[in-house]
Amino acid sequence: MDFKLIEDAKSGNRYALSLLLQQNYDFVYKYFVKLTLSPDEAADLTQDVMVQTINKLSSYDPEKSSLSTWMIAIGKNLWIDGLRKKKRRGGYHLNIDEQINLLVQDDPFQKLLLTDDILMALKKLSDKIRTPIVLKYSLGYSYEEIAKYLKIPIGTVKSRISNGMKTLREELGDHEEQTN
Amino acid sequence: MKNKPIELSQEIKQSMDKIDQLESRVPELNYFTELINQEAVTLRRKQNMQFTLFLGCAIILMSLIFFSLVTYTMFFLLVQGLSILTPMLWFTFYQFHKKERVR
Repeated sequence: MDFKLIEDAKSGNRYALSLLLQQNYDFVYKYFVKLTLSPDEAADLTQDVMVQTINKLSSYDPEKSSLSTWMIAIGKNLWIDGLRKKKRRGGYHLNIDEQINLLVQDDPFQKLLLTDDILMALKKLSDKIRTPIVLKYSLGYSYEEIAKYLKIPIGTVKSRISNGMKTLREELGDHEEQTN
Repeated sequence: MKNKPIELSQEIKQSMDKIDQLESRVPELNYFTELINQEAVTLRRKQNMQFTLFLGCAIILMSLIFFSLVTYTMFFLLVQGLSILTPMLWFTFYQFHKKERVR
């Protein structure tokens, strides 16, 4: 971690801040692609994180965490707020086939999401079921950490993961049967 | 064949790791510089607006005070005096009451 760059950025050097944002962009974007399984949503979230980083950098303490971790924490809050708003608004949601039709196929992330069976099956799960699974098996969070992250009881985390894995197994089993 | 829990979790990890291996389109440095400049402009505008609002409130308040002083001089002085005396009396009473309670 370049402490000098962070100090320069905090003291108002715009070039240093631009460099920091560029260096961390890829990490933040990929984190949100994994979490949302939607490159568009991940790009929007990453953009919001960049803006928040510009505005809140003065409150960042390099001794407490790395800049990328701090940026992820900001993005996590934005994402959870977004999920809550989405839940409150309700409304019409595109089903998986409609989403696939809308995907731009020249994006490597979207191509991967369309060709990988596991990612496709994960994408079919609802946000509340998919998120704990991704956090546990992809990002390596413990049950306690997931409960803290999503602000839900640990029992709920365990049951969501268990139900989600069951649905995934069924989905992948059906898929295997169809392809055979 | 059904996937066992361990196998499925490993498969999820492998699929997710593929995302890390892809190359994302990181914007040019100019893009970030432009974003920072844009945010600086937005922040300045916000601060200007807050200052204008504060100034507006201050002018209205000063005008009211001046109007009261000119039109109802005695009443104004009485209110000013009370606004100073009331907290002082309250504080004295509070301290006295506290001492009584300690005894």
